[in-house]
Amino acid sequence: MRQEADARVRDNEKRLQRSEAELRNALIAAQQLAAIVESSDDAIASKDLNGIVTSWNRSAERLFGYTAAEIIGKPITTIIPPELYVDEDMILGKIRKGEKIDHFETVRVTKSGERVDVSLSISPVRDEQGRIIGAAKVVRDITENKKIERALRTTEKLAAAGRLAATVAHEINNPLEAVHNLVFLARRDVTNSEKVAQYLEMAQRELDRVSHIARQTLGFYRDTSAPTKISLVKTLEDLLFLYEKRLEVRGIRVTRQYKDEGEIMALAGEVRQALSNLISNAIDAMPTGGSLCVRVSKSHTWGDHKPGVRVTVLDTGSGIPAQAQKKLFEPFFTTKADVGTGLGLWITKNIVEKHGGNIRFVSGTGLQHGTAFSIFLPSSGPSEAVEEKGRAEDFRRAKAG
Amino acid sequence: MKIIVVDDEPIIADTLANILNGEGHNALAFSRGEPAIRLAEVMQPDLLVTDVVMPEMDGIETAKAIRKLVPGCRIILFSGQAQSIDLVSKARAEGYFFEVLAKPVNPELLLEAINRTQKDGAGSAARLTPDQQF
Repeated sequence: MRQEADARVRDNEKRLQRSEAELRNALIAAQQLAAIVESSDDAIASKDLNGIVTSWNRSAERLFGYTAAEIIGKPITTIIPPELYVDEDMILGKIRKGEKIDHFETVRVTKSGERVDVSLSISPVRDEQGRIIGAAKVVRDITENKKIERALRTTEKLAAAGRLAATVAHEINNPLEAVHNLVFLARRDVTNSEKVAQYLEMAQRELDRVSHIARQTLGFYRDTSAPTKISLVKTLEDLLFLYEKRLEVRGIRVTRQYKDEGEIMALAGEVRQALSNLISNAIDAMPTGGSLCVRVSKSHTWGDHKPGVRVTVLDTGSGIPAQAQKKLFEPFFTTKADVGTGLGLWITKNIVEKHGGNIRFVSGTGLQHGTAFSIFLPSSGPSEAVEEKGRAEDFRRAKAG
Repeated sequence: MKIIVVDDEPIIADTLANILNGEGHNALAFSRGEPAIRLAEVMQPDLLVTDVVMPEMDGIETAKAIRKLVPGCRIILFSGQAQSIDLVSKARAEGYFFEVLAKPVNPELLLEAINRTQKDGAGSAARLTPDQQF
């Protein structure tokens, strides 16, 4: 009996020792973990499922200005800007479902009211039974990254402005040179009225070019007037007249395939700019000559058969390399490093879509090289709804920028 | 003075040649570099006035070829494009020094520049106002 009792005591002692060792190890592990959390460069905090802060490391104190004592027990919304409270609902919703959130970029507010750009990674915290009881979040300060990003965007815009200035200089200086010479000649031959008339007519054409270029490149053309009935054939003819010199100099042959007058309701100035960009790109693609074909025909939308007009501009230029095709409609993307602003096709696409139309292209750089841009514009012109959408998008873009 | 004018915009080349001829020079207009070079060999011009950025052969290549054929020929480049600065400095690095005018050039100023150097003695650079030089 006594021996049995002794054995049981020894067993219990051993078990106790084991439990003690386990506890000690767990404690050490917990302390190590706490030390890691405490010394981490990232802010680490945890909260329960009601969004109440339950832990707060030293980096969190540094980043947000609240000490652990100040914020533990307070709602996490203390550091969330009011307009982003919905963020928190979304986060808690995901955590309750046991989902993780990785690198969610958002904004938080420090104790002094300063806003910081942060990237959040949040994981659910479970108890021994595996029930979700809260969330642990790692907050990384990305203010510096954001600053660099913004600086880059500004640099890009400045570079774009520089390229724009170069384009304008290039396009305007030549006609101005011609006008200088023509005025000089008109004064020299002042007694020969026939010659003077000829010089003046030529000077007039050159000034038309300057005016057109100024409108086209400096205006970013936005006419506020209401849609009017326009003929796309007439618009194209006006443009071909204005680009006559550039076409002539490069030895580009122009073919016209007008199967319809192309009458639509549209914002005249904007459609003119959209087409002008396509023709100008086609000319730039053929520095040593080629052929340019403009085509106008009746068409309709695929789905609801809305009537409209399709304009196609084809060139036999160098073609657009495959890797450039993907980025073609992005702002500031250009294949013409010296003269391109990278805005032409982006503007064109915006204008076409604002009118409820669409733009497509095919391009090849092989043996049959060349590019065809095709835009469809509905006869009805930009509807109120489309315009509203356009405006909302402009607003969003302005806010984002 | 025998002068060759090259500009890919014929209206500029033609009007400039017309102006120079009116001043008693013997000027010919071209819209491409190659035929201008071919003529230079025969004509032995005293002056070449050429645009810089042109499709096919640019003004610098044209000027270099003509300088090789006619070493005494004075060369004035005139350009309205920013790219020209790179082209001109590249030529300078290769040992070619050309006078450069920025478009638009008032023809009176161009004539002045031409005549001034004629009086000062051929070969020396025209004295241009700073805003006319790149």
